[in-house]
Amino acid sequence: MKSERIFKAIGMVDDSLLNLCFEIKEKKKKISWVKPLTVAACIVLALGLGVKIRDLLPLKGTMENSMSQQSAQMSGESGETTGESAVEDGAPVFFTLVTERGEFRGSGEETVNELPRSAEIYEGQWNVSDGEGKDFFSGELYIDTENENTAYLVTEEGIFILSRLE
Amino acid sequence: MEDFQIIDLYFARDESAIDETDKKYGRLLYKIAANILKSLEDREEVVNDTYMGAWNSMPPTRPAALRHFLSRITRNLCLNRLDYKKAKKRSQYGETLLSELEDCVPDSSSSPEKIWEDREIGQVISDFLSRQDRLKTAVFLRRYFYGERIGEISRFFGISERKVKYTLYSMREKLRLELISKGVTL
Repeated sequence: MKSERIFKAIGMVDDSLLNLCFEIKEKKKKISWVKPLTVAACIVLALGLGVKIRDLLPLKGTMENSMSQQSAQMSGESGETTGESAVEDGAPVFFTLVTERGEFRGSGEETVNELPRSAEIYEGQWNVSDGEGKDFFSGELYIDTENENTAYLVTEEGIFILSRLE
Repeated sequence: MEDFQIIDLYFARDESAIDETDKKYGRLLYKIAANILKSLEDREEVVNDTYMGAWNSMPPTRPAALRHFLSRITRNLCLNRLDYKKAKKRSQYGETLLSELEDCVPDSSSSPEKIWEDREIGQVISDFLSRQDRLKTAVFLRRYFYGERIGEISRFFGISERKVKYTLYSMREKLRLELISKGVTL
């Protein structure tokens, strides 16, 4: 079987590469305690400062009223200006990828578990023209060779389906 | 005991070389066998055969890194055992590892004029891996050299299982393209 030959050939990789399997772990171990300590210290500091500021605020009620007014104003403005591009709760968030082979649009909702065998990696330049706040800026783009109107964006979040814009 | 001392024992034909090897690397070798083979008996046999293989190859071979040298022997013996068991029932996990590597197999029509040796393909893979990100390379080798499970790799490097799967997927695809670009046929 051909995959067995690949498996065998991987067994012949350089020793220096095999060393990486152990070196990276050791590096991580040394700093592993720093992060939890820093987070804990930040939480304590934030709680302490929060209590202090709350005690110092004489006009607590006025502040809350002012904030709720601001919030009402903001939602009103949003309804007037966003028009068609307004994103409702739970609605798909569309994003557009611009490539040398055309523009593709997808929602963050349509995903697949695996790429079809006919999908091939797109090695040209591409960028996101709009992402509505979602982070689709990293990943690899694949275009279906059997159906060039379909592309797939492979990210750590999953494999998103995109359709070519007419 | 240091590796060079163990190797010296092999060269002196001192049988304690095998005990020392077992003390230092027995667990690692058993782990590799357990990652690939299902049967407990097979695992034990493969580890014992690894010591026999080491005994027969040293001398004349003086390995630069004993750990990797022994790991390679164990791995090859496991693969032979998978072949042997092919007619019967293979370990499902061993099958999974091999089926994932199907993704890397280039189309055989790409360059039919050359017959590639395993060693040459190994060199292409080494060159490819040495150009990749260190963590991605380590994830790839933990999976396809040591045969570790996704969950183990995720815990070892402190990254999510999804990230491990994504890294492996992307590395397999890149490796396939690399093999095609070098004209490797299988």
